[in-house]
Amino acid sequence: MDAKSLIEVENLSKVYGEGDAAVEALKGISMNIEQSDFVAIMGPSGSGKSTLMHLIGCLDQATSGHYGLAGRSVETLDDDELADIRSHEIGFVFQQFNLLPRTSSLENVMLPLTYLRGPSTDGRKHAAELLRSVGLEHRIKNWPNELSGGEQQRVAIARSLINDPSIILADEPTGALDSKAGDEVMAIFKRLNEEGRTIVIITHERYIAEYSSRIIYLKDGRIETDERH
Amino acid sequence: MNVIESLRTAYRGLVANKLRSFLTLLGIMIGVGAVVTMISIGTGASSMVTTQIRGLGSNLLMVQPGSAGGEMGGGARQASGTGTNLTLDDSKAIGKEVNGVTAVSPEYSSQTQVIYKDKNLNTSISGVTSVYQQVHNFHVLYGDFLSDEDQKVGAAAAVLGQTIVSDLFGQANPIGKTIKIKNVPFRVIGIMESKGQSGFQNLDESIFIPLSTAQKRLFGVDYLRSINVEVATEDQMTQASNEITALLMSRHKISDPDQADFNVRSQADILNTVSQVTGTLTVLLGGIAAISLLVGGIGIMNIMLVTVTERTREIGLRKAVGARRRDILAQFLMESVFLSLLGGILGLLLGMLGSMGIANIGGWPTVVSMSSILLAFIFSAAIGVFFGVYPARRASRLNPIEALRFE
Ligand SMILES: Nc1ncnc2c1ncn2[C@@H]1O[C@H](COP(=O)(O)OP(=O)(O)OP(=O)(O)O)[C@@H](O)[C@H]1O
Ligand SMILES: [Mg+2]
Repeated sequence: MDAKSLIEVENLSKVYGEGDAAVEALKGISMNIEQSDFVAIMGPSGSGKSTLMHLIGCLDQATSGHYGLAGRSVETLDDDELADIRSHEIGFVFQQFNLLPRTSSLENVMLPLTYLRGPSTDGRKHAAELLRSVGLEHRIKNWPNELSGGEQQRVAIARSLINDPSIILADEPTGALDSKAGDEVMAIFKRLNEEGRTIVIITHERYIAEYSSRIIYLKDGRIETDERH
Repeated sequence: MNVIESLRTAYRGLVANKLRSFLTLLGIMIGVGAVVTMISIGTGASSMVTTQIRGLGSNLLMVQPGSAGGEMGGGARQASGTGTNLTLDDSKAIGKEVNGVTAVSPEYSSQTQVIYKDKNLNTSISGVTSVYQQVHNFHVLYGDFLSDEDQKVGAAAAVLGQTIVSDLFGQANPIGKTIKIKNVPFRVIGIMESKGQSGFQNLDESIFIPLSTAQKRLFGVDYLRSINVEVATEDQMTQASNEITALLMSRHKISDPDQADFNVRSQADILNTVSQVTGTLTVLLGGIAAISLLVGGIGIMNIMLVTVTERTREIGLRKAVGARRRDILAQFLMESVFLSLLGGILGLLLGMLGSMGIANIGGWPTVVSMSSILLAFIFSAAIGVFFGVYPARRASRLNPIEALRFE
């Protein structure tokens, strides 16, 4: 292998529970994701897509196997170091948006800055710019309950960008949106990818997956197909 | 995450549920208020009693019948001041034989009825001798005090305390008038200066008559309630106390000091006893009030647990965007400490108001001391930490994935 990939996954497996109740959600996944790639993960329900994304996002540790992120072996890291990686390297976008209620769009976008250890920049200005870049400059002061689903998801995307992460992980980001709002959200991801960001999304919809340049198909905890298009 | 940030986050969390936060805070507020008020009552009482006892004079020894008290296992003992074995001869012997004694005041006092015209009251009658004024540093203001002659002949003469004068005579001049004590007519010959509460009795509410008259004509006894001994200097107190003990033991034919049928105490001894009693009182009152503080603390814990459950998804999100365990811990701990500290401050104000109210309405002196203010602060902060730690730890240990999935 020549240049190190951004994400290196080798024979990764994840078992939930113990004994009789144990569920093997991932059964030896191996793959690499390069810097600036745009990957869609597809597969039937229960195939382990979310589980894989949680491992990639350092929200959880694998049961066995190796996961290298930007040259660091994630399996050797402790809780605080994982939190640091999430803070600096990873931006999450969730199906259910997960914005703080009774909190303005701007404050929501700024939330990750709270936990950023390092030099502080002018967060307010940066957050406002990000909201403008997702077309929400007129919704800066609104609370989430005053926004449409598509708008909420765009706030969430702006939030995922505030710490300037190298990877954006999105678990069914369009799952709660209609196709028009979904297309708007995907257009943003497409643009971000063209600007050089690595993006991994999970989706059930073929037309959403078409925005990506590579589709990994999971089935029963294993990679079934992995192709560029 | 710095302190200001977590304070802000905590503040927002609390403001989001104003009524709930206020009700929780109320628990602490009432608790701290109650503790501060109760301690102020106890402290006030103790400082009042202490100044009064100090006012009695520091070179007095008080001899009373009954055991010294305190020791256990002596069987049924007489309570101090209730025996019948101190006599006028004992008193005279002390004056003659003990070194350093400058004056000896034998006293017998009892509660009985006093009548003047259509007014009557039940008050303390003290049978004393002419040295009483000197020993107690308590003097006659108008007219004369009781003389040695009065004592010798058992005269029916009375000197009144100020409260007695106003109760029986109002504005009229009582000197020369006749009052009836236990139906025996007494001529009023003087009025004492005002002294107020002294020890456990209010001297302004006393009537002074010759000891001989009190013992023989009024109450028909031949013993004393107490002998107050004035010693020349404070340095001689211990020596004099020991000599009095030895003298009275030999006079009463007692060889074992533990069996003594009297006790000799100085101001310092009485002060000690009293401050022990008022100290216990303060602790007791404060302790009872502290229970309400405890209940307030449990209220905080309860609300924090509810908050943590309600905000599980928020916690998951915060962790997903990089919050460490200790960030979450700090956030929720800050919320509970903020609540309890604010409750503590408001409770302190409530307590100060309460103690002022009691002082005004109840006429009971209260003192909100610096230490009880400090105690209120430290206690309420400690309660916030103590009852906040468990919910906050619970929040900080949530698994981010499960927290995000929480419905
Ligand atoms: N916390 C957990 N405890 C036990 N089993 C779990 C847990 N999380 C996931 N699983 C199991 O692991 C398997 C994979 O779950 P996962 O959520 O990764 O599926 P998915 O591909 O994301 O499905 P979906 O498309 O429905 O979101 C499932 O069988 C699921 O029941
Ligand atoms: Mg899933």
